[in-house]
Amino acid sequence: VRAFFRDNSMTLAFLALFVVTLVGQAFVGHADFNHQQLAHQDHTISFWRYVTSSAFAVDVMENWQSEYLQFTLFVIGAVWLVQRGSPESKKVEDIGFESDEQQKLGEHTEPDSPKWAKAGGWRTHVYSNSLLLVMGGIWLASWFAQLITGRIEYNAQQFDHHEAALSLWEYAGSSDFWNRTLQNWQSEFLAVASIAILAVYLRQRGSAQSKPVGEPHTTTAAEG
Amino acid sequence: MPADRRQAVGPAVRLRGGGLMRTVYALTLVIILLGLVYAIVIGALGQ
Repeated sequence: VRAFFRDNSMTLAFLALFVVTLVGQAFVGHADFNHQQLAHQDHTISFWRYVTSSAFAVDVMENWQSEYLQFTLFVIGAVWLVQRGSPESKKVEDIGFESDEQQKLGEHTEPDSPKWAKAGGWRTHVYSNSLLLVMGGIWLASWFAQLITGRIEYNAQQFDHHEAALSLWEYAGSSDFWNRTLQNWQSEFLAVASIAILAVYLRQRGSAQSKPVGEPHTTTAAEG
Repeated sequence: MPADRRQAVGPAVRLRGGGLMRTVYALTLVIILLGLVYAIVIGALGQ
């Protein structure tokens, strides 16, 4: 059991942090929502009503979609984009999809290679892009979820202010939707640019996200 | 597990680790899917 937790500590620790912070968000979000309600002389709502509301769901989904977009773009971008000297990047000479030999495909598969990597045809094609497909799929689904929950929340505000409700299509072109979207995207893109270039010159001893401390700045694709 | 089958799929320790890791993998995907379904249903219901 101890070996199981050690071997999976990265996933399990971050899943646990996710659950704890999501519950925290629900509690403080509920308190904040009710403060706003009281300020507008509206009635307060129960905790359960809040966590099943679009007000809560849109706040969760707008952050999910931007994180999954970040990783989706990182996954696909890292096929062609490089940062010389960065442990986050592959080597400049490896730009592109690389050879079957490098990717251990075709006659270069190994006995332990994944079944769909060995299968050939459409299955190997799908499996060759499966990380992008799943991360991109989660991004699109969470962005859609942000759209539909954001609209409900926006229309509730409009109703409060005796203004007209928006259709889904109208909301997709609204400043509210794009403000929620872009305020999250900008921070993700800055973070990716930062880690790519900062990791060229800075180190964290022992981290898989860093080069070894004594590795020269010019070494690309080295992990510590 | 019979010795001959164990040999066919590799060492037993590796097999056990692989099974549990697949559970972590599946759990992560299930959590994500539940979150997405939850939000889409709430939005669709106009909650």
